[in-house]
This record gives sequence, structure tokens and C-alpha cells, in this order.
Amino acid sequence: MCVDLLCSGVVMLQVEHLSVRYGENIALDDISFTIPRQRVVGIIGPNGAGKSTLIKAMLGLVPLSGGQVLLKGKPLLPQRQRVAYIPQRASIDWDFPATVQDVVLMGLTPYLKLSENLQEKHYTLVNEALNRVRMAEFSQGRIGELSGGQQQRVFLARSLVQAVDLYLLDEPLVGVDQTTEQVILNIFDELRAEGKSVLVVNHDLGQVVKRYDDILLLRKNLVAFGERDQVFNSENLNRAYAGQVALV
Amino acid sequence: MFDLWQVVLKAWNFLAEPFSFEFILRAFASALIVGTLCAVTGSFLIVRRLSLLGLVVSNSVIPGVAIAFLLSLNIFVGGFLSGVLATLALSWLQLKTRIKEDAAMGIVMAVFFSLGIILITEIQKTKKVDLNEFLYGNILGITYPDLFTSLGIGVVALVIVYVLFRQLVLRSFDPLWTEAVGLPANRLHYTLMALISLTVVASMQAVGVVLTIALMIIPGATAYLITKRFATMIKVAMGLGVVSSIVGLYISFYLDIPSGPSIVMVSAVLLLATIFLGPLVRRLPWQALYDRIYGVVVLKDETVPNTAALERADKE
Repeated sequence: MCVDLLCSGVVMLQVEHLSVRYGENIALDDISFTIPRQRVVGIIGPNGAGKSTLIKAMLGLVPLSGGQVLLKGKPLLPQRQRVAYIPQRASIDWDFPATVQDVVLMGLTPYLKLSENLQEKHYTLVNEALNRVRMAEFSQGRIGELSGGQQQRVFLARSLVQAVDLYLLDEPLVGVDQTTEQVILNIFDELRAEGKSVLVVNHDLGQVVKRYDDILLLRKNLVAFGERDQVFNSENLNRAYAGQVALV
Repeated sequence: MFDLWQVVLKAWNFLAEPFSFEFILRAFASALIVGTLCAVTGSFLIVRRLSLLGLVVSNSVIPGVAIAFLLSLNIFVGGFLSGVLATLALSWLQLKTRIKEDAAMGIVMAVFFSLGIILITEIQKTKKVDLNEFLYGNILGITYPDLFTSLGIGVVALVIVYVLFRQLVLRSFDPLWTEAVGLPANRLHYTLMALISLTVVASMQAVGVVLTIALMIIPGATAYLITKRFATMIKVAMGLGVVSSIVGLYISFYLDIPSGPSIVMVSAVLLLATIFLGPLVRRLPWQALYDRIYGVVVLKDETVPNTAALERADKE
């Protein structure tokens, strides 16, 4: 069987009937959507809607109770090293003794053989990534000394050195400064131009939303998914937020 | 007149005298092995905030050692398996119940330790075994077979750390991400647990199961204060571990005090010296050293260098 998008090789990610249960609680119920290449998708929904869970479930970090996830037509789990994941900043201990460069170098670990020593080309990759997120001057600084926004940019640089086609970001814009927000949003544009796809868990409904091509509205099930203009309206938002939000 | 030659000669005698005894030579060799190994695996425990796990594993090797002794098996193997079993019991408690990590550690440690004491007391009824040697070690009583076993275990453990270094560091820093990119996060965790168990069995005869924790944590904690990279931290910790062991042994030899506690006290003095002298060292004009070894920011209320640059960048 050959369905239009799949055959032309433009499909990046397919999520089919994905469900997650924690005991009796249903966290995500029968989620299905398809993301083509060159799209920046914002995942929007109220607290507890399962936004982070959706990303974690796709990567196998929480067990699925049903459904499957495909990357370029093949199951995603065995090819996880072809996906860049940017976890929430709060998930790690920033007192860990490491420099900015050390953390970005960690992005190469999945692709290096155990016996392989770091070479000049690896450091070049790291420096390029740090330049892209405007953190090059901090490369020898200790990560514990960075501001929240700078830490977020370091995480983004770590995923840029992975050089993969799909980016999954968990709330990258929470509590970051203006500079960082601009840097991150610009990187989304660059990634789109390079033919990659980006999935972003988003926490607010402000101006940032305009930078996404598609919107995925989530409230344990899929409320709406599609191009921003068609999906991001008060009717859908009311369904997602149960009337708790108004578009200004 | 002040005779330099006499002083050098006296110092030489002071340093060399212990070595006229072969058992002291073995003790120094053992101290080097144990000091290095404990510092390396202990550094991982510190950055993972699992320091007390060292205590759990070290107390948990006792029943394994006792059972191996009863069955005339290799006590190193018995101790190792027992230590690994304790870490598995720990994970099981956390996975299957709502008991949190700290409580689980207390439970596992107490149960294994009690079992060990019961078994050893049983053994003592028929054979002459010194319980104190298990608990506090006896580095001066180490035999050549024990020394070589300890060396073998140490080499194996260090090679494993060397080969898996990047992945172990990644797993320690960001476990979720490690799993998300498809690396064997769980296997790496249990590898580290096995390494801790190896460290304990390699060290138990030298410093005893009770004090192994000190050699795993104190040099690492000292190094943690003055370094900004984990790779540097491990190297500094190894240096501190070795220095503590050797100086501790000298003190033990000349003052005739137990060697394990003596080694531990020296490492504690080094830690205190770092805390109180660190801020002074910062004032010295050793920029090159300062760049490698972190700015000795040991007291928390001290301002962190480089903040000015950070603020500048934020305003951009």
C-alpha cells in the first residue's frame, strides 16, 4: 500500500494510536498524527494535558500501552540515536562538574565508538554548534555559572551536534531571557530551512505561537492538529483548556 | 652551623625506614591501589549524589564474605556478589514499593550487615576469625596473594572505567537523555554498581568495610570543590587518595596508631585545608593553574568569578 505522503519521502514522523496509562489513569488516549519534513510544530495544552509525556512516550522513556511511532516509515525506538531530544532544563543537576564544551561534546557520545578518541573535527563541530546558539565565548565556563537561558542554549547546542533530522524539545522557552528566546526561535527557522522537523512543547499562548507552522492541541487526547491558521482559534482552545482561556 | 646534608639524610632515613620491613612495603603497595581505585569510583558516586550507596555496598559485602569463608570459596567473589545483590535489592525496593531511596538504603544496609554479623559470629564459634579485621581492615597484615588479588581487581575496575568513561559520565549527568539516544542507561547504572562492589572487595582488607566509604568520598569531595571538569576531578581525587594513603601510613607507622583510621584522618585534613586555604590560593598569581583547577570556590557565599561576563552577555 502506498499512501501519498509516505511514498514521496517527505514524511518525518508518524504517531499511530499512541496511548499511555499510569495504572488506572489515562495520560494519553489514542493519539494519531503525521508530521512531514520541514515543519515546526508547537504542542499546546493545559497543565497535565500530557505534552511532555507525549514526547517521552515517543522516545520510549515512558511505556506505551498501545500504538506505535514511526520515523521515516520505520519504528522509531531502534533508531533513537537519529532523534535529538532536549529535556526540561530542571531535569538535571547543574552543579555537575562540567564545562559548556564538555556538555556539548556529550552530544557526540552516542555516535562515537568506545575506543574512539576525540579529535579536532569533533571540537570543530562543538564550536560550530556553540556559535549557532551564541554561547561560544562561554565554552570553557562551568555550566553551574550559567543563567537559565544560557543553560537551555547549551542543551540546544548538544542536540545540534547530533546532526539528526527530528528535534523534540520539552518546554525550551520556559523562564528564558529575550536573547535566548530569539536564538532558539531562529534556530527553529534554520532547522526548517535545512529540511528538518521540530516538535516543541510550548507553555504559553503568546507571540511565540506565530513562529510555528503547525499546532497540535492536546488534552489527553488530540483536540486538534493542523496548520496554525486553521487550528489556533478560540473554539479549539476552549476545547483544550475547557473554557479557561480567551484569545486576545 | 646548619647542616643541610644532615637534614636530607635524616629525612631520607625517616622516609626509608618503614621500607626495611617487607610487610610495610606490601602495605604501601596496597595503599596505592586502594587510594586510586576508591577515588575513581567514588567520584562517580559523588556527582550522582549516591555517596551513601558506597556505605550500603561496603556493609553489604560482609555476609558474602562470611558465606564464602564457610563454603571455602574465594571470599573476594563472595563479597562482590553480596555487594551486587545489595544494589539489586535496593533497586527492587524502590521499583516495587513506594519506599524512597534513602529509606531503602537504610533497610538494605542494616539487613545485610546484621546477616553478616550473625554469620561471622557463627564462624567464630569453630574458627578463629577477627571480626575487627573485616570492619576496620589491617593493611599491615596484607599477604602477597591478597595484594595481587587486590591489584587484579583494581586493574579490571579501572580498565572498565577507562573504556566506558564517556558513557558513564553521560549516564551520571543526564540519565534521561542517555536513554533517549538509545544508549544502555540501565546497563551503565548496574555497571557502576558492580564497580563499586569491586572497589569495596579490593579495599576491605586494607581499610575495612566501614572505612572504605571514607576513601571513596573524601578525596572525591575535596576534588569536587576545586575542579570544574569531571575528568580533572577524578585525576585530582586519585592524587589526593594516594597522598592520603601514603602519609596516613607513615603516621600510622611512627605514631603506632591503626592505619585505616590514620589514612582517613589525613584525607579529612586535606579536605579541611582545601576549604580554608582555598580562598587564599585564589589570590596567588597562578593563572595557568587557576584555569585548570577551578577557582577554589569552596565557601558558598563567595562570589563566583565570571559573573560580570555572564551579565554582559545577557544584556546583549
